Amino acid sequence: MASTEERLRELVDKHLNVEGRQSGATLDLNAPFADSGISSVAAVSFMMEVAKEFDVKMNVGDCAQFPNMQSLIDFLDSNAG
Amino acid sequence: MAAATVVHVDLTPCASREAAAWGWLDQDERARWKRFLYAPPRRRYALCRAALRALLCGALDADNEQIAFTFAEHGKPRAQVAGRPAAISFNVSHSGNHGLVAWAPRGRVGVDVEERSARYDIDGLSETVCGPRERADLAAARGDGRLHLFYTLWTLKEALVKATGAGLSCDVSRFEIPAAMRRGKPTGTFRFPQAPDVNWRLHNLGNAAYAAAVAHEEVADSAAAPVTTP
Ligand SMILES: CC(C)(COP(=O)(O)OP(=O)(O)OC[C@H]1O[C@@H](n2cnc3c(N)ncnc32)[C@H](O)[C@@H]1OP(=O)(O)O)[C@@H](O)C(=O)NCCC(=O)NCCS
Repeated sequence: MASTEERLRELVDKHLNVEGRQSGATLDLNAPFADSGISSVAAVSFMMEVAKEFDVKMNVGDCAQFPNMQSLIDFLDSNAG
Repeated sequence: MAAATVVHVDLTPCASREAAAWGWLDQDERARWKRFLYAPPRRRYALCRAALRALLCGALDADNEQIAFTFAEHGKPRAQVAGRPAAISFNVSHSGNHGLVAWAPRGRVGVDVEERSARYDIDGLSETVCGPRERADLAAARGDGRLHLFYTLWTLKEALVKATGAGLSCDVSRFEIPAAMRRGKPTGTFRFPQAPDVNWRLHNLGNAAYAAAVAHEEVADSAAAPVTTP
């Protein structure tokens, strides 16, 4: 079974629209999302994919609580089914 | 009531304008500029922040060097002139090649611009960010009309939560845009269900190139309260 980090990396490559980023480029788990310039539509849309993949309930207000990928991994590790 | 003013900022790539914009930024802003991992958001940030600074200089009769920004709880910037809170509300938004800066002498302001993109799952997004009547209107819309309506709703909602400063920490599916605006009326008045005492003026500023909206808090001209951004 792939780790949360591996599954997220795959989702990022498939679903997270980060203008300027090459698919497969290194992903610094601690880099603030704010430094990637991710738009709010892209962020919410990615959150929906994460909720689907990990079978967790997330609402749009949850988007703002994850400052970086690591915080999302920590959340999923303790909440995903 | 004093109206909000909205200015469009051209964000198409242009090395000389970007260099000039960079010259307007203070140390903290240059550090932020440097932290961006990719060129497009770095460009949008510099061009919009420089435009904002130029507008604030004019509106507040201040020199660029006197202007600095502090940030509210969820990141909404507010201006200071020579270390004191400036009596002006403003907000900035950028998407693709388009930036908008909105400001007003009183009453909180929020603005949002989005280049419409068909790459997103509009039905899924609507489930997440829209209320039941908004979803029904989207379901009834056809073809491009659906994409346009979705982005109209999105920008109006986001303008509202940017005006309050809550940003995406607010669950925007819990309030709905007035029915007349969902059906195409360009302006309207809105009240958050949880804060019905405050009226917000909404303007749909969308055009063929982008969806956009501004939300402006109605404040009586005679109100003695000092004007602050949230
Ligand atoms: C900032 C936010 C309100 C708007 O996002 P957006 O539509 O993508 O971006 P916009 O271009 O419309 O607006 C960005 C501008 O709004 C302003 N802003 C930032 N936080 C704000 C807030 N809480 N309220 C109002 N305005 C805000 C800033 O001026 C920013 O531009 P700048 O950094 O160049 O100065 C929204 O993204 C948010 O709440 N983000 C916080 C959480 C987050 O970033 N999560 C991402 C990972 S899930």
